[in-house]
This record gives sequence, C-alpha cells and structure tokens, in this order.
Amino acid sequence: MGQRIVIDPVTRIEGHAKITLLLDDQGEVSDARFHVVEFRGFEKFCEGRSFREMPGITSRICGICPVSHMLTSAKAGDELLAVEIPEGAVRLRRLLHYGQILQSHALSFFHLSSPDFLLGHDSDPAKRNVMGLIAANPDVARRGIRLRQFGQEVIQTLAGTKIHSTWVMPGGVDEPLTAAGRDRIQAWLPEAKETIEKTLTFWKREMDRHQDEARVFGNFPSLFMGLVTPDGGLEHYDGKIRFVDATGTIVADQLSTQKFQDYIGEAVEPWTYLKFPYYKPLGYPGGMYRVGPLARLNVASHCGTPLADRELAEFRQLGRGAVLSAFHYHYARLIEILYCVERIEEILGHPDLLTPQVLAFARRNRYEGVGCCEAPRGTLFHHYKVKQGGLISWANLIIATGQNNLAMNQTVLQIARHYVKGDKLKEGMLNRVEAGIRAYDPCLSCSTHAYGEMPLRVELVAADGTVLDTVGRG
Amino acid sequence: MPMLDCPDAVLVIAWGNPLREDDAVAWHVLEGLRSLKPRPGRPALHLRHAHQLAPEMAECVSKAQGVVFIDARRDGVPGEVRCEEIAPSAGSNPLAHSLSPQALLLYAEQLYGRAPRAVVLSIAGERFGMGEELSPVVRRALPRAIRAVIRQARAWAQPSPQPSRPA
Repeated sequence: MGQRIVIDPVTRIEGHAKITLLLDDQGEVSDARFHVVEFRGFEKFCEGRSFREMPGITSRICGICPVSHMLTSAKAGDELLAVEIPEGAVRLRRLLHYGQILQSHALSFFHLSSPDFLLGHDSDPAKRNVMGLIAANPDVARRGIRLRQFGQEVIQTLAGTKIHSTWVMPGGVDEPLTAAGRDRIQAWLPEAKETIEKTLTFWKREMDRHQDEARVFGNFPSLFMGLVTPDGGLEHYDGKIRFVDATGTIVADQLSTQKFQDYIGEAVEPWTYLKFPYYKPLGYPGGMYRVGPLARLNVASHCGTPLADRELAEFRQLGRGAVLSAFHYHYARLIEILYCVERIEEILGHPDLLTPQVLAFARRNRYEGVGCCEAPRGTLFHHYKVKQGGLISWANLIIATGQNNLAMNQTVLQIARHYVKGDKLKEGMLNRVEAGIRAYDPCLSCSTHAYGEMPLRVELVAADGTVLDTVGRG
Repeated sequence: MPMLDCPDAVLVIAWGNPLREDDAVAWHVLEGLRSLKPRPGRPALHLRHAHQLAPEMAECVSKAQGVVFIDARRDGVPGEVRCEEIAPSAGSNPLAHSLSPQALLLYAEQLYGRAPRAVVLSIAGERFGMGEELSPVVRRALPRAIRAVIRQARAWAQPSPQPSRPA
C-alpha cells in the first residue's frame, strides 16, 4: 500500500511551505508536492487604494526584495500615467535595481547556501549555518557580508533606507543622486569586484565536489523565460520577453510585457495557495518554464559587460544549449553579481548622472497598466486596473517564485527519488530537499534561512496510521 | 576598502517594528537620546536604529567602546526597564539575516577579533498590535530608559577595554 511522507513546515517565511512525498508499495517515491500553505492577499486588499500608493504597499510583500516590487509597481504606474520618464530617472532606477539584485544574490549565496557547500549536506545541523561558515572560512564569510552590505549601501544612498522606501514612484524617482552619494558608492567598487571575482574562482573549483547535486537538483528539460534587450542581451529593468527551450533554441522572442496574458496562463491546484504559471501555447503543465538567474543567462545571447561575458562563455559549457540543472542557479547568481558591479560602475561614470530631472508629472491617462522587471528571483509582473480617480479596481501580481512553482515541484520529486529510500529517513535527506528548493532562492526562502534548524518533522506513516519512522529537528 | 562610519563611542542600537505599538519603544528612546543637548562629561553616543540586527553591523559593533541594545519585551510588568549584561553566543536563532544581540556580538568576535562589553536594555511592553502609538505606561517609561542608557555609557567611560580572545 502507498505511504506518505510530510515535511511540515519546510521553512518559515512570510508564510509556510510543506512538502509531501508519496511512496508506492515498493517504498519508492512516486510523487512529491511543494505546498505553500499561507495566503497573503495583497491583490485583494489593494483594491480601492490609489495606484500611486502601490509601490509603497507592494514593497512590503517582502523584506529581501522590496525594491523589485517598488520598481515594478512604479512601472505599472508609469503606464497608467502614459509617460516616458526622464532618462535621469531610468538611470537611477537601474542603479537601484543593480544594488538590489547584488545584495539579494549575495545573501542567497553566502548566508543561505554556502554552509551546505562548505560544510556538507550531512554535517551537523547545529553547525551547518553561518557560524559554522565563519569557523571554517572566516574570510569568505567576511567578504560575503561586506558584498551584501555594498548592495544595501547602494539602495540606502539612493532611496534613503534599505527596505520599504518611497523613493521610486510613478513618473520617476523622488530625488536626484548627490555627488557625495555617487562617491560613496564608487568607493566600494574595487572591493566588490575583487570579492566577486575571487568567489567565482572559488566556486568553479568547488563545483567539482558537487557533481551529484548538479546531476539531480532540478536537472531536467524545461523552457526558460526572461527579459532581453532589443539585440537579445541580458536585461533586468526593461526590454521584452524571450522564451528558449532546453536546447537553447528561441521559442518566442521580443514579446510585449504589456500583453503577458497572451502567453502566460495561471493554473491553480487545491493543495497549495501558490499558483502555477505556464506558457500558454504548450498548455498546463507542459508549458512549465523557469525564471531567475539561470533562465536569464540561458535566454540572453550576451551580457554586454566584458567580465560577465567572459564568465558567461565559460558557464555555457555546462550544458548543450541551455544549462538545465537548478544547482547552477548558484553559479548564475555569481555571474549576475559581477554583471551588476560592472553596470553600477558604468552608470556612476555617466556625465548626466546627477541631473535634477528625475520625475515626470502627469495625471492618470489610462485605466490599465502592466509593470515588469527582473527581480533577483525572476520575472515579476504587476498588472493593475484602475477606475476614475486612479483607485485600484483589480490587481494581479505574478511573482517570480510562482513562475518556478512547477519546476520546484519537479525538483523536489527528482531529489526525493534519488535520496529517499524505503522506510527509513535521514536528516541529510531533508536538507537536500531544502537545498534543492534553496537553489531557486524562492521568495519563500525566508523559511529556508533556517537551514538545518527549522522545527521540521517528517513522519513516515503507513496506510493504517502507524508511524513507521520519524525524523525531526527543533 | 571603504571605512564604515563607526566612531569610537558607545554604540546604541535600537531595534523593533515601528508599526507595532510598543515594539517601537526603542526607536522612541533613541529619539530621546538624539534630542539631548550636549553636556560636559556626557559620554559620546553613536545612535543607530534598525528593524532587525544584521550581520553587516558586526564591524561597527567590534569597534565600539560598548554596545547598548534597546528593545521591547513581552514579559514583565508593562513599563519596567531592565538592563542585563550579555556575552557573545550563537543562541538558537535559525534566521541567517536577522540576529540576536548575543549572536551579533559573536559575529563581531569571530569576524573582527573583538566583542565589546554589551547590555540589553529592555522595556516591557503592554500592546503589540497594529499602530504607531506607544501605550501610556510605556511612554511614561521613556525618561527612565534614557537615563539608564546614559548611566551605562558613563559606567563604561574609561580607556579602551581589554580585547576579547582572538578569533
């Protein structure tokens, strides 16, 4: 008879997630489900608010990537105003965005994931954390903390605060950058560049020790989606949508972000609050696609900055066409950090960086608008409809993490099939399942911040309710 | 390498959620300290506030003469002000980007070779719902809390403390 293993909660976040593993009569994993079990409700309680408030409201969806929501919301507002914002504002928004991506990726790699790499998935959970990392390699820990701090300094210098700012708004940004602010950011660049280059060198050596993970952590064909520039280059703030398949062949290109509903559908399942976006021409669930750093490097033909392009060429050798294994999200994140450092340096050198022309004024001129950006975790859409007076009548947010939902479920299944055997559970198995999710750096990942220490209980229960085995921590 | 703004002074870190009524008490204490007029003999204070304690603070902590962490607490008689010495410790906080005061001290010691003397100054709260106002009893405790910070800083006002054991 079949059996069920439940990991609940997987982690703590703004909400909770759990994993169910279903075993067949032979004790092999037959299915896995990654459930998001809490409901946020932003799309509903924003109804009736002014669209001008939405950047501030939606930035509170998350404490790690509030800037992404603020930017995407403001871009939806730009569409409602029907304005082309000043070039100076675009430049500053991009600068903020690169700071955000950099700090988020640094958090993911150094704080959340590196304890697994450096200390091992089977190491003592009590030590498999940043403290353990500090003891094992204090230089890596120190550099990682300062790299994240650099990204936060960029955000604070521009937006006045590290989280939940009101600096970005429909029409542009609230204030220009000062010369002192520019110099403050610039002073960090040499160290940031050195840190990320050293980390890439370290990681490329380290990957050899993780070939098993690379083989089974989300290593399967899928589509990949991301923003690209008009010439197909890496893009995070603007641009159009491109899909590629597992061979790297372009499936659809230069799609308008305003018309995303033409090519992205959303399915729901009764066992989770997280929706399942899919590529409409291939239906559900065949239209599974992935977003985020791995996807962005798969869809882009080039980065457009010299050091990142050099790394991209090396990265591409990991796959025939697209790089498929979710394990390589970590590598892609590091390349994007390098790219962000290069772009920040480039923007800081712009002759008109300090222009006071950073905000366009207009009244609402449209009743519907879509904002789209590449958040650290993937493509993010804010779609608003407003009524007279500019009050939100309807909102739909397609979160980056949601777009990886199908792929995360498949990843959990793949890892569980490889590591979960019979009727005995081991703690290292739990950590590997969490590590597979963590590779995607989902916005649920506040829960995966509790690596190895979350109150996590897995029970293997027979059909008659008998508990066959239990693994727990906390 | 850019130098952080970490003066050689007593570091006062106020943390908590300013939108959750008495959880904001530490921010109010900080504002009270900020509004004090300079006075001869009053020790120099470096004031910082945060929603959470983060690893990035470890460098400044390591350079401070001493650290006063200010926070609200849920237990105790509302308005009660308590000052407790703390030592570096990993504790059981599983979050990687939000730390306890003890863990932040440990970061300072392990990464930068020094954990200064430190206390947690906590004020027992009465209400932790949604709102920006302090409860009356906690508001009345603000002057006591401010005096407690000054008292602690004075007690530490002496030449450089002994360095802790090397990392």
